[in-house]
Amino acid sequence: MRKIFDLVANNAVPAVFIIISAFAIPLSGYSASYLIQELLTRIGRNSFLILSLLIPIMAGMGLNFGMVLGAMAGQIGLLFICDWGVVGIPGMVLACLIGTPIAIVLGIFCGHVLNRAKGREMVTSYILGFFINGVYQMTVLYLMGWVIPITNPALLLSRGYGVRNAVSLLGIRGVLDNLIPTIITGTQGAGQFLSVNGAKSYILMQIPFLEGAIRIPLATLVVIALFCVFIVWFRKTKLGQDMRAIGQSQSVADSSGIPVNRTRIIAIVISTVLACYGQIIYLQNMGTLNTYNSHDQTGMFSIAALLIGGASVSRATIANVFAGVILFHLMFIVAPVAGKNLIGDAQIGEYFRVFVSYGIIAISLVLHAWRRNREREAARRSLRGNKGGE
Amino acid sequence: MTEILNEYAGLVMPYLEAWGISLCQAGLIALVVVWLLLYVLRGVSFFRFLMRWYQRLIVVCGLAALGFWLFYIGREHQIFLDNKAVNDYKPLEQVNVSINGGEAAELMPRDRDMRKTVGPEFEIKAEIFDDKGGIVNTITRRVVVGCSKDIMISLPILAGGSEDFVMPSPR
Repeated sequence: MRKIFDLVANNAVPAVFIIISAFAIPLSGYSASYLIQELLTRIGRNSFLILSLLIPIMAGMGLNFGMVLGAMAGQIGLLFICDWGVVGIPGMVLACLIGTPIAIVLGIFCGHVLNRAKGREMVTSYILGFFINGVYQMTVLYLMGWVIPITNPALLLSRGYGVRNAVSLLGIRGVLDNLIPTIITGTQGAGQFLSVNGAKSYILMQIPFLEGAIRIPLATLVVIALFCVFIVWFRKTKLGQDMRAIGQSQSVADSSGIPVNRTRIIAIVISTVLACYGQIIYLQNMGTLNTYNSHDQTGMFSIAALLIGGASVSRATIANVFAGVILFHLMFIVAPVAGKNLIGDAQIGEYFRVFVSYGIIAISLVLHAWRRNREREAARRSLRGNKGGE
Repeated sequence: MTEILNEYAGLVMPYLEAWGISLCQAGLIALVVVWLLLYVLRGVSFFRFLMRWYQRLIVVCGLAALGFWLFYIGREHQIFLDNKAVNDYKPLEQVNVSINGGEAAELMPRDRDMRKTVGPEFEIKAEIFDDKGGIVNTITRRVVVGCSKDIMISLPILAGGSEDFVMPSPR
């Protein structure tokens, strides 16, 4: 009975979302090929960002709301390549190259701050995100074009300094997604697709029941797969083992000679740098940079997706990431249309999605706190020899 | 970026020339100065400096070189195609110009058009027509843009056979 209760308690969040999706998908009336296409696009767009959260969780630092710092670093890299007019894959790599040192510096700063706020990392990193957002806004709104040279007038505000609110990333739009143009098509849809796009796309496979064609962002998925391999490898390294030890008990890790503070800083730096790359991948898919708002929701959405995938504050796996992306973004796709078809108003569906998604996050955080308190109580009872216990 | 680099180089080079040292020698002197600073402040030995700081410096220089190479091969250039009279060269009756085999631009006298290209060099193909619509001449040239942002190509000068057909951007 206890095992069944634990199984349900551990997987309650994904189970709720699966049940809601099972009702919402038929109500939305979307075809399977449309849903698969949308999900593949969103997996390619968001997975890298969410994967960047795994390493701080491994080091016992909870969910890194400070990943927005990395996102800002990536955006600064993108602003520079837009100014210099560097396009395509070289532009994207150059943006990563420019963003990396900024992300490292911000990560070191974030790590030092979090080391002074042990046990309250999540709320500290959340507020730190707002603080660095202020610095970012001052840099982009006042220093760019005045102290930092920006020569492209299309980027600058009419007053001569400060970057415009919306920046077109046409030069790098979809360059990684379309690097290896690949499609999956139904037997009927193949001819239609090829007649439009010629021989540019490579047909990966043909599925008889599929309508139309599904574009696969193969290069992006390969990059994400390589990142997953990196995480698996990293867990087995000395540094990875140190992080896991710190995640389990900082005092024990410290006693055994592991440099706790330094390792925690490294975990945050890695997460911030990877979030920088994740934001660049995300924005190359979107094709537009909202200079002052793009990074705002990055942390919240990534953390929501990870929790919905069944992760907790202290434990997250690669499977949680992909389950979370699929379930969270499936709600994004189907909820408004399902709401419209059910009640006649898309706003109701959207409201329902927001209410359920963020309600679930709150519940999972409360569940985590409750479970941690219960474990602490159990540990205390076992130390007392279970005298006053059950 | 090139303009900024040129600007900074323009600030430094006169001093180096006045002292009679090259840029490479200045780099080596800067390295020794950095080591001396580290030695005084943190007691870093020269061997340790070579093994750690110098290696890091090489990595940073390598990344900077990679960044510059990416900038060089990935930069988008605006190529202005100009069919206006320049000095003794008269505008052409009609010319079709394509860059790297892309869509051709049809230019009549006093016309100006713009095409975009990526990378440090491109191939320009100009088909020159007479007033009856027959092709008089076809010219194919490879133009190196390098790091500069935009350039203008004077088609009358190109058709005239001179090598000075690359002009500064009108912007």
